[in-house]
Amino acid sequence: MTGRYAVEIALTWAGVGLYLAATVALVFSVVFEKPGARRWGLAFAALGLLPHGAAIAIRWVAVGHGPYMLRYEVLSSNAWVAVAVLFLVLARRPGWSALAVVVMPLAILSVAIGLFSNPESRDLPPTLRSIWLVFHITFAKVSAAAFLVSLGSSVLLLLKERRSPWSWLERVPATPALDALTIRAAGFGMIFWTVTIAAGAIWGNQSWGRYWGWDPIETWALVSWMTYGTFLHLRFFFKLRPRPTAWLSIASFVVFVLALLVLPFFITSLHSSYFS
Amino acid sequence: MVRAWRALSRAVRRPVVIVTDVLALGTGAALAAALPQQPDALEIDRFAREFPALSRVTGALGLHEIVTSGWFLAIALACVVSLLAVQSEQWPRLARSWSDRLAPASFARAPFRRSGPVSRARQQPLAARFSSAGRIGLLGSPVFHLGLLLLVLAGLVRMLAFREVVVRALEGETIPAQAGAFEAERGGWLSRPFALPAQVQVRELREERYQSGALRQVAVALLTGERPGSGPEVREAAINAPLDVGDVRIYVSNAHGLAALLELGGAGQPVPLVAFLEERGGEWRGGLRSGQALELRFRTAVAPRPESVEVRALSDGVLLGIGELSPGSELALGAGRTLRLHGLRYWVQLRGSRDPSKPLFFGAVAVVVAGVVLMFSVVRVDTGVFVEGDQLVVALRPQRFAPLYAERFERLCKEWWPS
Ligand code: HEM
Repeated sequence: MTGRYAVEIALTWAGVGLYLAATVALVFSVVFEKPGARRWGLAFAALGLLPHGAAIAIRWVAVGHGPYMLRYEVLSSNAWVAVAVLFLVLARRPGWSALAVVVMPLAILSVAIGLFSNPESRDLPPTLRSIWLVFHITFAKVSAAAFLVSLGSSVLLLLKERRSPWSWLERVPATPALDALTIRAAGFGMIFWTVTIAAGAIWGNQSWGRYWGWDPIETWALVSWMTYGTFLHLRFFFKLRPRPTAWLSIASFVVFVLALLVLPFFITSLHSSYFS
Repeated sequence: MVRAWRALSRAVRRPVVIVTDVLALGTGAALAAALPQQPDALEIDRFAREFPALSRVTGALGLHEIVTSGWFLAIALACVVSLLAVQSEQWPRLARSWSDRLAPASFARAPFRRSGPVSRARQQPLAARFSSAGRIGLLGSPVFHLGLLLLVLAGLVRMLAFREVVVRALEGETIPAQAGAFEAERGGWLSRPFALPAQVQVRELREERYQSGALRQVAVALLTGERPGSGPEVREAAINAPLDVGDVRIYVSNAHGLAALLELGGAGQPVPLVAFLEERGGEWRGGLRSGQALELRFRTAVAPRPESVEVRALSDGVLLGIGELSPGSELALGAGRTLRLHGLRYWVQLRGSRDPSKPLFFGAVAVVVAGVVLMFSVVRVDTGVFVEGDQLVVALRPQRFAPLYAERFERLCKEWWPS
């Protein structure tokens, strides 16, 4: 283990520790109705972003490319973006702290899976050295965060609708608000995912002379985009009630995660060179 | 005619039809992503070996060539018809709602509406106040779906008119300015054969590598020109930096390597041979068969412009000779036969593309992106403050996501009723 890698790992764990503290504080603030704990939760999340961000930056500088080559890099940076987006949402909307109950554990899980995979850095192959790759990847990460927020509000909605004995759920925003957030966040996810696919097409054209080649991963991205499109159509046309809307949002997220984070590691495609 | 279109338009605009269209297209795409597709014959063979029973079914259903299949194109056509019908209704509806004038009646069913005695209001509105923000958001859905139509149109133009070629060229080789000068060529039904507007000579290939030895860049100096009005000119193309030559574009792919130019001598005429070596495990490696029995294997370390290459000659698996050949040297193969190395040069795979759909495609992408941004990030919100009898009414009417505007409404009410 190199010294630099040890520092990276230590900083990442420091970030994870602070994220855990943030999760505990935010859950505490919702369950026991303590607004003070919410502020602590936000502070821990912001503090966690610093060492975690530093770990990503150190690696970026050392290996000479952004966090998009290895599972370790991809998952860790996705989690960083998800926590940052959650922080921004909660800073604006204090009443939404319960989203942390879903988003933070998934973000922490993502870093953890990354930490247990091979961290050995690899140089960026020439086809990946393009400004369009930067847009492609950045927007993919932001769309993942937006879809995660949509998932978070769907899960809360389903919990709330279950007439569960947990009294803390009464302090979670009302069902219509959760329902609206599910759609709004999915809509933002659609914006970023559309830009991701568009940047990929421009980059494909620059590299291979064609903007669309039905490469499996390319096509899975399209499928997940259409899945969200179908979900939004169903909701719009059939005025779906909150519960089916939430279930469809969860199903769309599963397709999205398969397309973005699972299949690229297994399928032989033009994208394989940077997912290992 | 008009009545027929109206009837069709009503039918294809039905929510069930639209959702079925999108779902069918998505399912087709999912199958195309999950199953190996033409022209990747190798993957299709592998699939057939691994899942023989399944592959018989997928083969019979034509699921290895989905995106050009009749049923997939029929789904795409159904989508286009639905989109046309939707567009013909969306734009007039947009024009109507864009120019509607707000009045107290507009807020009769507003999700946020509160009234209280005018006398308790902080200030008395002299006249009813109406405002509307984010009207531009109404453009979102019509613009987005227009973009989708343009995308399909671009796909159609591509299917008809694109032309793509591939050629493996050696340093020093000239690709002539005539049709058929390439190894592989494919194109749309109406496309004319691909030809360079002027001959192009591959002058020199330049590799850049990282300290680790991994490939960083491949750049190729190309001598283009010799057309009326333009003299020869050396220009560079590289991976991710294609070169425009007239109306075609040349792309450098990262498939490249070392070529050994050889001559097999013996009793009869010398036979020229070329072995193409590719990078594998830190070495350039490659093989070549000449005739029935002779098999040649080559390897050399990946270094800038290697000066020699190790050659092994085998016949029916029996080693005939091994030697490190540099240009000009020979390897004796027995029975009077010799293998002479003439030179080592780089080869590179170049692609050429002529695709008139590209401007349309990128324009359509810009329209789709603009549409989706407007659709979800800009929400039209109408505000009304007016007097009804002795009541002051404060109302807020977001076009969508109403429950997310509760706080804003409370703030608005506070402006009018302090407590
Ligand atoms: C067969 C092709 C399609 C047709 C005919 C169609 C039609 C429609 C219609 C009529 C609406 C309602 C909008 C309005 O009344 O202003 C709509 C909304 C929408 N469509 Fe499509 N659409 C198609 C394909 C797609 C695709 C491929 C996507 C994306 C993957 C998509 C994404 C959306 C979204 C996000 C909305 C907005 C839903 C909302 O407002 O919550 N559409 N579509």
